[in-house]
Amino acid sequence: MLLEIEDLRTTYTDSSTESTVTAVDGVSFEIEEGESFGLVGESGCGKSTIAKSVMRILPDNGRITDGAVRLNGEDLTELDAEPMRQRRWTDIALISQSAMNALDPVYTVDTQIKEAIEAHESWSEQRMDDRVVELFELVGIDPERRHDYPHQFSGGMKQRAMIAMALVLDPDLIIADEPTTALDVISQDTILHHLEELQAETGASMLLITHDMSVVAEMCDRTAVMYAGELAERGPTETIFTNPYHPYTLGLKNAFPSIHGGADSLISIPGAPPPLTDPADACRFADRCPFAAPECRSSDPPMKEVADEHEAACARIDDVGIETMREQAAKREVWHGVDDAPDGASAGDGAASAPTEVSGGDSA
Amino acid sequence: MTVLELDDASKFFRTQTGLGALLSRDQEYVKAVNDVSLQLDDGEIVGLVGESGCGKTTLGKVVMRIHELTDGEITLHGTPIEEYGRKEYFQEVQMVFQDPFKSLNPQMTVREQLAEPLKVHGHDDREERIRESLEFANLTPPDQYLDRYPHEISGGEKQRVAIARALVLDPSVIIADEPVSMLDVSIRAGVLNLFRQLAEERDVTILYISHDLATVRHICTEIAVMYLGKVMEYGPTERICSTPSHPYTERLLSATPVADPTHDRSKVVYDEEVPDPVDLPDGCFFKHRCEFATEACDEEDMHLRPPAKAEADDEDWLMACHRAADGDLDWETIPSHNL
Repeated sequence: MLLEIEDLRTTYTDSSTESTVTAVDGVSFEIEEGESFGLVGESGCGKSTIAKSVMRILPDNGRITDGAVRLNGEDLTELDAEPMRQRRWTDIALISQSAMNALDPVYTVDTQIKEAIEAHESWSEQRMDDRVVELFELVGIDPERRHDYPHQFSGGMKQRAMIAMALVLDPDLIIADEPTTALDVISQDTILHHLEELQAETGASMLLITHDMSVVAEMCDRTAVMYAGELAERGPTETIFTNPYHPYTLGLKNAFPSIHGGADSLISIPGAPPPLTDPADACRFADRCPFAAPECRSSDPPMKEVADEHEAACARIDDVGIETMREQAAKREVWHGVDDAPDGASAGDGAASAPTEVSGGDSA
Repeated sequence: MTVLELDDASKFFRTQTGLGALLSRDQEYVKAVNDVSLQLDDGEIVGLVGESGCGKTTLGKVVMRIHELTDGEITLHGTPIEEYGRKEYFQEVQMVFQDPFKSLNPQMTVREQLAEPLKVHGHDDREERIRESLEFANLTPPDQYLDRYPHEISGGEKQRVAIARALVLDPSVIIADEPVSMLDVSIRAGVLNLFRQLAEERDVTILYISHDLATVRHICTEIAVMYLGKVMEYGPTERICSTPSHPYTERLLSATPVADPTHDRSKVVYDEEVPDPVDLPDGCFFKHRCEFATEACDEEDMHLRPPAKAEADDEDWLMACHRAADGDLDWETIPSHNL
């Protein structure tokens, strides 16, 4: 096992109000060697905090309060600053959404990549040069252009140059946090293609963090769906998409537009995620969930196995019956009530709309 | 009935301004919008799609009169837009921006945001119009929202307020530039459905600018595909999305990822860059990236014409490729073709 994240808990403290936000609340997953693992969720669900916790680059007010992050068996949360610095870039590399803006405008791209190498290794000039040329070819940029300044590159090229830079020391794990979100579809496709190729070539594992379900569907072997600081569901990408178990995943599928298939209208999920300042001991999706029952508000359901290598954190699957749940979740009126207009936007509406017709039935 | 019509509309920007422009002998231009003709009827939602830098946002800004046309003409209800007074014009044409966190004034309550345009345009029935707008945007009951500030409502609700504000003057045209790209997936659907309702129930004409073909497919009745300032293909959504005729449209579609892990799609790889919009090539602008390009493409003038595969009732389906017009494109030869 390359990366094991066990019961990770990361908090941010607001110094002015002295309140604490638990951005990641007991998340566990593992990534195998050479595997692509997708982490999907909406803004504020804590997915980027996981990336920052693994890299140990949390802002000053952020702290890992519990759990372990083991890379090749070594717990990164226990490391001192200097050994941790050595792990970054050499063993784990991060490609972030705004990576392309991290390039320094006054140095050539070549200089900046070599600077990164020199911070970790004492390679000869020739060796560094060969490596830069090799990587530029891998990410599909003419190596002649390595001596260009960042402003001479387009956004997509800058992002590809940053990918080259992240891979320069052949890391075991690549964390890609929304690597293509700022780019248009054609640049996105080119970058995803190069990422796949690079991964195949180097055998690195990848943690791909994104809000875009279609990117995960195409890139990842296994996927975890995250909601309000916790994992809602985790399993092989194919079954997450074809046979989802958690009502949140079912709702996301309804809301996600597709370029193929009928242009039937999309169904949004009513309400908004709860604040994470003082989470109650309850299912965090309960207020938006059409299948919620009183038990969902009295304890936070743990992850449990629902199918082969597939886990979900929902207490209602057995009671409602997964077939009934999927059937019901595909209907607009189940989410928004019968006489509601196409979409109820106000937070809290979800709590009132728990339909009675689906509770207790088990026609599976 | 045609509401908004663009007739060979062009917007060029000088590459140098100020002293540089006075001193340099050869002035160069970025041809951001280049001879675009489009016709938008009432109740239509026309999607304007293309890569970053294709000129789609500039086109929206020209219609919003943020930029003046360099050449060509835009008419609203048959009258050139510059003949309208500004107030008169914005009574008819409103905009919804990408980022509701920035487009709403943080110091104004929802009521004040919506009252502002009504005050400017001298309407007396403000409260009534505000409530009606909020209700239409599904911010119900309005009383729950009227006195709240933008920071007190969620992102999806903010964008609904922005839409309600655009609606409050009862315009006939709304320009929406990437209106859902900042919103989370779970609430995006609601805002998209709202645009559809606007067109269906209030006959508003919407120019929907986005690079995301999947969302465009869900709400637009027509799609215009833009590349380097030119419209490459225009037609009914179903035609464009299921049987595109222009090689560029096909590329865009096949580059769109599919949320289905069982779907096998080969990725589109373009390592070469889009040509410089200052120094455009002769002939077709897409020829460098096109699998079907021949020498004849150097002569292509990219005027819109029906594709060979158009049938008799496809009169609104146009594109700008001489090879597709002659019907000699064999899609099966493209490895990425999997539509």
